[in-house]
Amino acid sequence: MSVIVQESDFSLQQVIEELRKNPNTGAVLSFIGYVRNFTNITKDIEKKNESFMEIEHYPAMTEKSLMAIESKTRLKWQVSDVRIIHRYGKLEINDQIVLVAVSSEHRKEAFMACEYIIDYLKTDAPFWKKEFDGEVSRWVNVNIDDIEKRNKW
Amino acid sequence: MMINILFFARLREVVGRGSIQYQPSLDKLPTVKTVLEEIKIQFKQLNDEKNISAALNQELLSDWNMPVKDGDEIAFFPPITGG
Repeated sequence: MSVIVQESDFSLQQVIEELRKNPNTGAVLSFIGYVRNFTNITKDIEKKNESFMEIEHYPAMTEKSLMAIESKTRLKWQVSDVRIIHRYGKLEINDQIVLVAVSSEHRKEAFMACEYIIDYLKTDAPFWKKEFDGEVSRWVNVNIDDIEKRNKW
Repeated sequence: MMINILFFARLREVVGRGSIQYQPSLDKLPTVKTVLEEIKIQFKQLNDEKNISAALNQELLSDWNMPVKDGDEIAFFPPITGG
């Protein structure tokens, strides 16, 4: 499967090993998105568990939308393989959220395709993030820059 | 005519449920736009939501005037924050 939506963590190394098996692979580009610290103060270790992120998604649509992004990518660039893994559920600060990996014969195609995919994921893949910080919680707002980045393609 | 309406994220919390079965009024050809206008009468709290996005049958909506058919699934949600 080139597109996976899962609750559990993933391994970049494992994905790279899969992509390099293709004898046409000359380059592999990868992007990983992490949960960055969204709290206002530096938490001490005991309080770390009070801060987390919940990622909700639209199960019937999510894979479909990721596959559509992959198809659009393949129309634009000559890539060999594409892997998109996106997690949902409860994640802690520093956890991996999303992996995009692209292989191609030459690096330029992979660089462009990888950026294209992550830009589209931000605005077109039906995920919503909610941050919890102790008693306080808030839905993450859409970033206007993300919409502009996607629209420039 | 019956359609399945889903709410996600903030809109699910605001409405207080994740899905409803809805029968659009029959006096005009229903579109995603008219369906949202009608359910805003039932769920007045949706009037306070400035940014509502939608998907029709699991495809992001590009045109709010898309007609709605029996058995369709419409999802309403705040702007996506994937990646």
